Amino acid sequence: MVKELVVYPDDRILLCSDVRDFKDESLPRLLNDMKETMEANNLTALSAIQVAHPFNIVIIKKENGEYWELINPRILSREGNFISKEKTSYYPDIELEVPRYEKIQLLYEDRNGKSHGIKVEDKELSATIQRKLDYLSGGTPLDKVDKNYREQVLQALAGKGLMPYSTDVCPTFSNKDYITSFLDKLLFFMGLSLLTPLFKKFFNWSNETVAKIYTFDKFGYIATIILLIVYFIYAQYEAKKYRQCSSCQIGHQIGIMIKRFVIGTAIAVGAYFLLGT
Amino acid sequence: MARLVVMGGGVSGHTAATFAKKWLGNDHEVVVVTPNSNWNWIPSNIWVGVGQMKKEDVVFPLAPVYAKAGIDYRQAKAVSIHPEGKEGSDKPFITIEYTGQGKEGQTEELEYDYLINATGPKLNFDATPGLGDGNGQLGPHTVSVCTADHAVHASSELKKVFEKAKTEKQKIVVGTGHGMCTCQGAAFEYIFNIEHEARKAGVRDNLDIQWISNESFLGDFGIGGLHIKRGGYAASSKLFAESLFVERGVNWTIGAHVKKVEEGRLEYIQLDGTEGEMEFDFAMLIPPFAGVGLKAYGKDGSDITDTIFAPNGFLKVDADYTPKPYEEWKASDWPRTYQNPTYKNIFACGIAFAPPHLISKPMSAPDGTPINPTPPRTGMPSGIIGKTVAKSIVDLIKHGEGAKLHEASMAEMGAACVASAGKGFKDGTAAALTVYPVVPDFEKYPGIGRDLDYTFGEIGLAGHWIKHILHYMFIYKAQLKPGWTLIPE
Repeated sequence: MVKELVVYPDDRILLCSDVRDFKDESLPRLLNDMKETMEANNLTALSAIQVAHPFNIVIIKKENGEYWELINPRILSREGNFISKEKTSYYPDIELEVPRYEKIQLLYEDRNGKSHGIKVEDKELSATIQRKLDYLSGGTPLDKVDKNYREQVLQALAGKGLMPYSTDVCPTFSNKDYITSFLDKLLFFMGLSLLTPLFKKFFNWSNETVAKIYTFDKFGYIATIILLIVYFIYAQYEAKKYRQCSSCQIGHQIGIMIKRFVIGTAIAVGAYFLLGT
Repeated sequence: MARLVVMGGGVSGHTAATFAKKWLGNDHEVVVVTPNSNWNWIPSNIWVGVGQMKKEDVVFPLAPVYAKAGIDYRQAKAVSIHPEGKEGSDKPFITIEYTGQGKEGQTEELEYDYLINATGPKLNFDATPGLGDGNGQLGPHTVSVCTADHAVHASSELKKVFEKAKTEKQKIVVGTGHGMCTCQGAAFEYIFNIEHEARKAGVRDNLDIQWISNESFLGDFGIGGLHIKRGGYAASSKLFAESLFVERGVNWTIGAHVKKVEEGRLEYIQLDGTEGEMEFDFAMLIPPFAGVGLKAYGKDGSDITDTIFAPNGFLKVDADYTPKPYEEWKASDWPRTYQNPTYKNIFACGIAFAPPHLISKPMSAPDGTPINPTPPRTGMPSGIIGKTVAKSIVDLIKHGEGAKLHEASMAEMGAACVASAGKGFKDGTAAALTVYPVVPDFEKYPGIGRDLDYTFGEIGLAGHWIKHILHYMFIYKAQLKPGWTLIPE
């Protein structure tokens, strides 16, 4: 019989218990129901609690279409870590990024209570089993992610925000800040150069000195344009990396560029009239 | 005047003796026989083991406390029980061998009317080759935190490893040294305290910290895990334990029986038959527990040890010891009065009583090596059982043999557990958990076998403060200072 899937925010998912009695005749019935539910919903893996049966059972559909029943599964050891992009029927329509182990050593029982051990070396299968196991101890895959990320996902699920990405933490300091910082200092000195006529008058600066300062302004303006181009290219890279970060959005970057371009151009024009002529 | 003899002065024996004396007064005699001169608050040994407490902070001399209470204290170890007396006398007695009080090596017969066996465990280091020294003591390759002296030794060895870690990588292994160990909680606390201290010392990056245990899942703790109420439902301690291991960067290997320990390496086998080895520069492995090896003799001098004791050396009590498959285990198998079924004037409490079976699911490797945590009988349950047994004996003495015995089944008893994960007034952490009942009752509470209304679990700084307060409170209580009876077990 196809069972109804437990879907967020139904908190019946938060239950767990081992299968103790393998002679219980309801066990094969539940295993068959789980398989039928997987077929009906086109699922490749399912935990018993996802159909509201609080037993430590996971069924995986193999690539060849066979079903693999894992009862009371336990991970005995693991190797390697990676970030797995996952979808699960409990949180429909969203994709989570969850830290997982690359390889796991698994112990489980079959429907007759016989123990089996297997080393799972395929990353994707390993992640799928771990995701299903998350449901077996009274939790969900969200218990395995960073607290801030979990909060953002829950906010998004409550309709109060966008879905975050695990790498989508807005950097407090970005490498492109080095460029803007350098640009701002350059523009400050270029701006200071506009006072050269006053210095010339009060400190009797030579025409040669004024010419040198004008040369600095010319190179400064060219450097400003080059730096703004470098900034734009690098900012594009960050905009892709931190998709939810407001300071990484293209509008913000264009604003920064226009502001500095206008200031730089204004200083360059001023320098042309005050120093160049 | 009746005489109650208590063998053992640990948490349960000390509780039983002190309450019995308080209730019996000077009309009757209470004798404590323990080979130790000091009382040790064992849960704080882990802090001695990381150099955050001194031995003196966790022990105090027993003699003045017993002198004040009017308890006859014999610093001696019990050797044998003679429940039927001997030829020419029906009076039951035990033989003891002094370890202190200026009578070292002397033996003596000590008659009793009632006897409590609270000897605690024998730390069975030799069960794993290389873990012991071949003479029943801790071997040279690893350290332990089971006694205050072991913890002092562990602390000095850890200090050396931290020193080396300033310039080179070091490997630390903490866990259980045999497939049939209990007390995973102590190892769990110790590994996270080491991790915490390593961070404080600035050497964490050079330490590879590994957990190895006989649990089949992280957070089993020998009681099939604890369950924490979460949105009205039950979450397993597995969830929280796994998060803690990830957060603190501690690697783990579980379902493992340590087969052999050598200098700087150990070999293990896991539940699925996988064999492996680990190298280490520092290892703290908890040994399995066994009975202390007491013998029992009949009136004619025949060996009746098997009548009184289970094969593992723990005293048989009113439990159902009939071998049954896991799915048929019941809460009612667990003892209620802790009275020996053959000799009704002998009781046991704490680790010394033989449990009917495991609490966690029994499991073994394909070659038949059993790998599962054995039931803990320490901490809060052992104190409660000690007090209950004392109550029963006091009633038997005061009201005669028809008096109703008091009951304290671990299947009807809750327990609070505060597991430290780092010591520090501002940056300490501990997991505070309650579980009810300790032994799951699957008939009463289908599914997880536990009552969710009495479960609680939190991890944080407040947990550490509670743990630290309990340290002072229980030492205060054990020293019988004013108001000691008001402090719960």
